[in-house]
Amino acid sequence: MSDLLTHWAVMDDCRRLMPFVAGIAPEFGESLNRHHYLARLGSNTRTEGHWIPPILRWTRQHWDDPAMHPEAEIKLAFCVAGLAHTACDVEMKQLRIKTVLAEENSPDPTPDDVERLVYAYHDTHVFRKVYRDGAEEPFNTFMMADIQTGAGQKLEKMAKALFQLAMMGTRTMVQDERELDRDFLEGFVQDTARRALASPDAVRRIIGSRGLCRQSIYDWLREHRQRGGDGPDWDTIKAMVMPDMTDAKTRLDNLLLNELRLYVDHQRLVRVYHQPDPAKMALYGIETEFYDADDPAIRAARAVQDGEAPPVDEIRAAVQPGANRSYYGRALETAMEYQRQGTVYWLGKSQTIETPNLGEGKALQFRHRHDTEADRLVETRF
Amino acid sequence: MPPDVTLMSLCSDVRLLVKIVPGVDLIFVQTLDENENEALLGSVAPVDEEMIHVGLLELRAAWEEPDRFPPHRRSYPGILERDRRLAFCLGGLVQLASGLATDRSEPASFQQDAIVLTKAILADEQDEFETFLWENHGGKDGLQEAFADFVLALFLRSMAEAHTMIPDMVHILGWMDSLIYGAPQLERQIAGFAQAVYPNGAAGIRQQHGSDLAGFYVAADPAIRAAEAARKNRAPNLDRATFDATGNRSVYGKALCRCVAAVVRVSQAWREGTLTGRISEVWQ
Repeated sequence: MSDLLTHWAVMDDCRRLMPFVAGIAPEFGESLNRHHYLARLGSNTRTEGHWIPPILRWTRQHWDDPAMHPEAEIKLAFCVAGLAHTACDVEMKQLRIKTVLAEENSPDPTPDDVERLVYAYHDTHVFRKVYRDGAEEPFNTFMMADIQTGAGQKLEKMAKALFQLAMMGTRTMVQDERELDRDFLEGFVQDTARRALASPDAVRRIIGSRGLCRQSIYDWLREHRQRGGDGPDWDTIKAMVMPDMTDAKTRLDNLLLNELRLYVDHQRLVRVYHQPDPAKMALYGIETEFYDADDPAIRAARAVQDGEAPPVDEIRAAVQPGANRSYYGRALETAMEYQRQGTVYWLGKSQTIETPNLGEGKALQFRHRHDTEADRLVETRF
Repeated sequence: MPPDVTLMSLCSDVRLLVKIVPGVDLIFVQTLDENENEALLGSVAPVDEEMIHVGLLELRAAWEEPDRFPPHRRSYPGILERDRRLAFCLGGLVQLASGLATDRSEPASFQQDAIVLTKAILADEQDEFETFLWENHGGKDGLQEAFADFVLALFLRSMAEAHTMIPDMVHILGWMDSLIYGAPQLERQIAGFAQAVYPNGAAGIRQQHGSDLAGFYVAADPAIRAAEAARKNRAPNLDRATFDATGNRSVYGKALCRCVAAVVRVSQAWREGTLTGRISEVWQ
C-alpha cells in the first residue's frame, strides 16, 4: 500500500539484481528486462493475490508455443512485477505504521494527511536516488516539475481525464469467464452468492470493488432458487448481478463504477521534492530506516545501475535475509524471495506461492483455491 | 478519434461561462465548479443521449437525498457521489451538444486539437509555457520533444495519483491485453499530438495549420471573446448576440453557443421539473 514510485523502484531494482540471484528462473529476469515498460502496469495493479497465480500458470502452459510470444513473455513480466509489488507492500506497511505514529506523537504533528505525506517523502526520495531526478526511464524531469503556468495546469487536468478515460476503456462487461481460474472461480462464486443471499447490498459492493463473475453468480443463485432455497427479492439480486447493458441507466452506472479515482495529490510530491523539510526527513528516517544508501542490496542495485559488475557472490550475499537494515533494502531481499517462490510455482513444483513476510516471520500464501482466510489477508494487508 | 482536447476545452469554457450567463441554476454552477475532473471526464467519456437523460432524471428526483448515491469502493472525503455524477452528466451534455464528438474508432486527427491548444489554452501564455518547457527539459532537443516528454509525464503523474489500478477480474487476460496494447498506442498518440502542435520542432507553433482549418477557431467570434475574458477571470460583456449561433462564424464559436444553450435549457427544465421527453428536445 506504498505509493507508486516506491513500488516501481523496487521493481526496477529487482530487474537489476535478479539475473545474479540463484533460484530465480532466468525467464523471469529476461521477461522483466525486455518488457519493463509494460510490466510497470503489473507493479501497480491491485489484488495481485488473485491474478498472479492463474496468469503465471497461463504463461507456463503457453510458454513453449512460439505463436504465444511475446504475449506470454509480457504477461510473465507483468506477474514478476506484481510479486515485487507485494514484497514492497509487506515491508513498507510495517514502516508506515511506525512512521505515522512518530508523526502523530511529534510535538508539531502535520495538519496534512499523515500517511500520504510519509509516502510523498518515500516517493520523492526514490525519485532522487533510484530514478536520479528523472534521468532514468520511464521518468523525465517533468515528473516533479512545479507547473506554474495556467496553461500547463489546465493541460494537467485534461491529461488526468484522458488517463481515466483510457482506464475506463480497458474494463469490460464481457460475461466470459473461460479465462478465469476454475478453482478460484468456484470458491469465489459460492462465497459471493451466499453473501448476496444474506444482503443484496453486499453484491453491489462486491461486484463493484472486485469486478466480476456475474454469469456464474447468477447461475448459482438461479440453481439455488430452483432447489427451493430462500433469499431476498429475486428481481433485486438479478438486476444487480446480471444488469441489462441495453439499459441506459446500467450503462451509465457501469461507466461511473469503472472510473479509476485519482486520490493521491501529486502536488504534495512536487512540494516535498522541491522543499523537503529536514525535520520530517529525520523524523521519518528517510535516509536511515527507509532507504539506507549503505545497505548492501541498495549498494548492489546502484552499482549495477552504474554499469559496474559487482561479484555475483557479493550480490547474492546482499539480498540474503537479514543483510539489510533499511526497509527499502529489506523490500529487495523479500522481493528476491518472492521471485524464488514464484519460480517454484511457475515450474509446477508447488501448488501455492509462499510469500513469507521476512520482517516478522509471518507467512502469507497466494492460493489458487479461493480461500477466505487468505483472501481476507490479501484484502487487509494490501 | 474525437477531438478530446477540443471537447475538454469547451467543457472548461462552459464551466466558467455558466457563472455569468443568466438562467443557470446555482446547483449546476457550483457542481461544475467543484467537480472539474468529473466534468472533463464526462466531456470525453463514451456516453450517449439516453444515458445523460436517465442520469439527469435520476439525479433530479434524488437531489435532496445525498444518501441515494453511496460512494463506491472507498469513500473519498469531501466528494459527494451525487455531485460527481451530476458533473459527469453535465460534461456529457457538453460533449453531445457540441456536435463535435466523433466515433472513437476513426483515425486520430490532432489538427483541431492543436489549434485549440495553441489558441485557447496556451494563448498569450505561450512564451511563458515554452520557457517552462525549455528549462525543465534542460535545453536539450526541440520543443516537439520537450512537449511530448511533458505530456508523457502528465500521464505518469495521473497514474501516480490513481495509486493502483483495479483489474477487471471478469476477463483478466482481456484486461491485460487492453493495457498492453493500449500503452504503445498512447505513446503514438502523444507523439502525434506533439507533432501537430510543434510541426516545425523548435521553430514553433506560429506558422502552422492549413488554411482549411482557418475557420475552426476565430477569436473575433463573440462567444469566443466571452470565453477568453472568462478564462482571464474578467467579466465579459454579454448581450443577446454573444451566444447566438448566427453571430458566431467559427466551428468552436458555434459549438460553444450550442453547449451554453444546452446547459441553460437543461437547467431550466431541471428547475421546472420538465426533464421529460428526449433530452435533445430539451436542449435544442
